[in-house]
Amino acid sequence: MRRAPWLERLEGRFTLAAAAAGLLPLVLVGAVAWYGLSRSYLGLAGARIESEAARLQGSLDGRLEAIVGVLGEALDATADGAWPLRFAAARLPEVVELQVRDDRGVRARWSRFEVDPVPLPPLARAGVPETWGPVQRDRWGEPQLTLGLARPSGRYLEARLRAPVLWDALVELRDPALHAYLTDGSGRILASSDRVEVLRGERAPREVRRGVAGQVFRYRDGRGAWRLAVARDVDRLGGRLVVEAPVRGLLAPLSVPLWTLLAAMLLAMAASYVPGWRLARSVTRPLDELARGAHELERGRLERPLAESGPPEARATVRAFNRMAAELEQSRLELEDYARHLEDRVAERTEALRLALERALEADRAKTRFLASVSHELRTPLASIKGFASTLLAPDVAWKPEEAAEFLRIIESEADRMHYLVNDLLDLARGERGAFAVRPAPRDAVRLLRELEPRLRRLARGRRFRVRLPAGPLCVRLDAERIRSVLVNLVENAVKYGPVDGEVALELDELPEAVRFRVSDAGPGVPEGLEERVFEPFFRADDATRGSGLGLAIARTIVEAHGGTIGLTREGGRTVAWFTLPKGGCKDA
Amino acid sequence: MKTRTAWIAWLLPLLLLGGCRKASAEREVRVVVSGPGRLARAQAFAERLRSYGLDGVRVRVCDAGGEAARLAGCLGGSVALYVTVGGVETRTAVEGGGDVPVLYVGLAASLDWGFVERLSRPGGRVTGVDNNYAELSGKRLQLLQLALPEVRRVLVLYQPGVVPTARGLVSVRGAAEGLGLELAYRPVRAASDLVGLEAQVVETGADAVLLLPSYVLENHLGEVLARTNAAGVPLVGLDADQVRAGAFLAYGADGAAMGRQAARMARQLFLGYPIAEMPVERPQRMTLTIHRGVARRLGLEPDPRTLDLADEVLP
Repeated sequence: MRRAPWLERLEGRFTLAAAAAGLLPLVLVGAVAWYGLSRSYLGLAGARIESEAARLQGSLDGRLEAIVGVLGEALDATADGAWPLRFAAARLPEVVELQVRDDRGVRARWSRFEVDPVPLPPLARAGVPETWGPVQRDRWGEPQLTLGLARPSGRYLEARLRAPVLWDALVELRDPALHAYLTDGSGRILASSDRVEVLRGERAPREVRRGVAGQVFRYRDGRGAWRLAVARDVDRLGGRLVVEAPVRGLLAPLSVPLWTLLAAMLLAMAASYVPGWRLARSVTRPLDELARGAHELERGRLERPLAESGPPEARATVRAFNRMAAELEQSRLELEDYARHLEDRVAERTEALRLALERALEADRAKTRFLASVSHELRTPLASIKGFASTLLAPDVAWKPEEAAEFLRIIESEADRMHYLVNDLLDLARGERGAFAVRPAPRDAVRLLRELEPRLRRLARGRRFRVRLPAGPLCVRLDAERIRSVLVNLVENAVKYGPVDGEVALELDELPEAVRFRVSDAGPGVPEGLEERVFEPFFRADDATRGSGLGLAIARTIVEAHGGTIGLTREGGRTVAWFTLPKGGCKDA
Repeated sequence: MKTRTAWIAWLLPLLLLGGCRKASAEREVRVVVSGPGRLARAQAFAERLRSYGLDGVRVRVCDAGGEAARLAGCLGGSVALYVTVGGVETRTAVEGGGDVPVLYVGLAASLDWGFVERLSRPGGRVTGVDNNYAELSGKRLQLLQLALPEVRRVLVLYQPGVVPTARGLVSVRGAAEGLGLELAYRPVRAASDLVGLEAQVVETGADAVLLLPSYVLENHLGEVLARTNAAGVPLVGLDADQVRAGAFLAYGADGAAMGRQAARMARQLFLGYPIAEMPVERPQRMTLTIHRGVARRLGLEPDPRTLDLADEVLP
């Protein structure tokens, strides 16, 4: 059966407290001491009751003997009239009425209350010196003993005696805690220290009537209280003399030490419970805290660290728990944060993957385009070479030498074209894997452009060609051959994509850390958003435009191999192709 | 702080337990006395009851000083038990005492008063010790004759209107017939009615004067004695106290003994015995008291056997 938590806690604490205080042994010792003491005391009380009963029986027997003696003397002296009866009554306060009779009738009478009492019924019998008759009750309810005395001379005496007065005359209990009474043969109480039970004709308890005479016994009275009693037979009356007392009353003298003992135990308990409780609490409080903490952890959070208290071991346990809880809390927060950002990260990664996929697809497409472009670029001169070669070798045609030479020049030109194309491809491949070889050397960029200007001007094919160069030298570390090819490529593109009557301009600017080469034309340039893509291999903004599509890609490879940058912009309605090279390294220039 | 709280939590219940022992409310026992003639039994009652040491019980004696009209002033207030020492006191307490129980000490003719239904079971809120004095009036006459055989005529003083008087008159009339005595009667309603008592003694030729139970006569015993002494006749009283006061002979219960007997009954009441079921008791013993000095002063010579018969003979 599951018990309430508070009961378990209470039990635990009380047990700890009791064990700490040693209260249980104290209680046991107290109980045993009380039991032994009360038993001994009741034994002594029983002996006292027994002694009192014996003494009272002796007094009662003596009194009855005296009554019989006094009345016998009065009987013997009744020749003097009623005076002996009056004297006897004066000596015996229990006497209510006396009469003397003989065979001729009543000879004398005397009553304590009446002047001319009614004659008593005959009780004494010839040959029986002493006869105790049935108990009678007067109109007051008082029990009255009846006695008859007989003399061999034929004279008889009858007497009525007030039982309570008889009793009062002799009963002086030495111990006020005791109660004594006299019963008749039927067990009805004749006399007692309590007149009420006498006048009401109450009966003695059955245990008293049936108990072994002279022995101490115990019984429960009508109210359920234990009483200790001794009953002794009164042979003359056929009844019993009983001395008894309530056990509680007998033990009353022990009540002071008992209550003192109880009070001492209570005080001891109170005194010991507090430290015991505190001790138990010092152990259980950390456990309670741990339980509370575990419960809060179970519910998901521990809002504040557990209070450290109790012995060092308990404090260490609580401390360890707090550390564990803090780590759990940190982990929980991280998990929450991770969970909170997981979707974002997933979205980011998904976007990244999508971009990567797009790039991969684009790369794949680029590769396909590249392969297609390479194939196309290679197939075109190859087809031309094959065609002119086949034409020259046709068996049924006899070509003139000048025609054959023209065909061979064409074949050579296409072979050169293929050669350049393959070289460009090789350069491009080297550039992509970082193996493009440049051999920079300090050069004056202004001087380089002045030397290259005639060639570039020829490439312009009659268009206005404007050159703007700084006055002084600008020293740049560069591979002159490679940079020349870049400039040629840019000018060719300007001529190719610019209007026929447009101007092509070549400019050189000095920047703080670099020099910038600019080639501009009045052409429309590339569509917006494709400025970067023009540097990709085989990219053509316009398929109608003739070219391999590798020039700008190779130009970028060359520039980046010098540590510079290249780009394409629109400025004031003009398309500007530019690239920068870092300055420096011209001490010898 | 916690330690102090724990100590207070323990000590407070202990103090409360100690302090919660119910302080017993004071219970007053008021003894109502019509006059000095009955004061002795009241004092004996009070002394014995006090000796029991009943918790919270206080005894207060209220003496009306011989004026029955002042008895009502003895009633009222917070009283647990009225103790009365005679018929008029009992009647006053029963009629004016509300529901407070009444215990009488020495009342004559309990049944005639109507205070109880039966002697063995009163059935109401009144019980006590019935002194049986009304019936004993005839017995006193008999004892007077034993003590002074020459007495032939007796003047009976009685108080008309009190309940025991009728039974007392019946008792003395019956006794007188049996004893061969002549009776004369003098009703006494108030002390003033005693004026002329000597003349009536002379006029009737009474040899003695017999008192019937009466609070007027008991409380003006001195005047009665003065007049009977003046008339030169012995007075037969009710109890030993009256003999000590100057009467020649008395047969009755000892007032102090009755007071002690009633104190025992009061104790039982306070211990919880219901008053309706507490039987009316009669006195433990009757005592014959004779004053030889009074007899000598009056020139009388009591029968010596009667003196032997007496429980107490005053010199």
